[in-house]
Amino acid sequence: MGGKLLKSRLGSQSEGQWYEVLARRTPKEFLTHLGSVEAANEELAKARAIKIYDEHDWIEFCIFPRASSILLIPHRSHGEIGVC
Amino acid sequence: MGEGMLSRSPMVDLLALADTKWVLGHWYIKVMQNGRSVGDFCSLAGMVQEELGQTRALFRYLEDECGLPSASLEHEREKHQCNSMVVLDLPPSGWGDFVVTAAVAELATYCLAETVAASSSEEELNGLLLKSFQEEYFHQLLTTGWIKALEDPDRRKASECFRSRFGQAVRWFGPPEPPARALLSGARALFVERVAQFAVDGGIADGHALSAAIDETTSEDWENWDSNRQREAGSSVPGSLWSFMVPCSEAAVLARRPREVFLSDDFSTAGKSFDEYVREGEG
Repeated sequence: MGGKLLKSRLGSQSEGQWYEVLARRTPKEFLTHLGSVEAANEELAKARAIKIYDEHDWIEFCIFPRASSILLIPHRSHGEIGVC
Repeated sequence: MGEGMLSRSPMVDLLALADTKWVLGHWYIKVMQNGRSVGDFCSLAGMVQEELGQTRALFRYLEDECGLPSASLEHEREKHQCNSMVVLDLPPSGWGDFVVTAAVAELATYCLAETVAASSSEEELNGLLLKSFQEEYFHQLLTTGWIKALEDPDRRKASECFRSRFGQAVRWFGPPEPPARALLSGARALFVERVAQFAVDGGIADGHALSAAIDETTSEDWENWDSNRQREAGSSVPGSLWSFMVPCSEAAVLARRPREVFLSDDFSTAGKSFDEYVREGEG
């Protein structure tokens, strides 16, 4: 496979949507928010979340689309969960 | 090879599996910077690490089982001795082609490994394959995700390339009737079933295109087929790809870490190559 054959379009395409990542290590713990991943679809979000947040042997690990969260008290400046 | 170990047949299949993963890992190295996002770049870096890790684990296992010198499978072979899948000989012509080819190659290796594991009762090999399945799960999530995220013109290109890439990947399992080995027949059926699901879900091929590709492969000429290499007799990986995998310039050879056996000294502690090992088994 000689030379670079594909043109890079790094950053030229929208990643899709944000997914929030939650997990817990023991049955006694509550699910804790670990962070978020941006991905074009659910498959990519799953792969990225598990790879990025693999620092513990979680007993429960889940992601959900940020867009599906139900906002009860909006953030004062933005009104979105997890956005500074 | 000790008593109760695998027969020679799976050894040949394991080498084809390891060589294909070896080439696939280098595909990912080459394409890494062409990912569509930083996330893709990171994912490809992880895939490289896992494919090459599995390759080396399989090489080490084969060397131990076949009594070959350490690192000989990686450093003491020529390009015509590499038994990788032919579908990876031709570089990707774009992101769509890359995603389709990576997906079919990943699925093909997974199906063969799963069939080998199902037929083996050896703990060490099964442990190694089980670990690889955990890693392969992510590779399949990624290739499926990439296919679903494709937009035109990449999606159109992926559909165009699918038929030829899928046909070459099916051919890797050898002639359907009679199969070279029973194990390959089972792996082939599994592969066709899973690719069909993948292609239809991803919207890159319909049932008709799949059937046409399978019929084409089935009717192909198998006279020159080398079932021990799972590719045409006398064929080899392209020189440019091989030199990317095993740099063999004088500087690269000098830079290598000292190993137990030096090919330049024409000395081997085992006294035979993998090919000789296979021929002995057939004799």
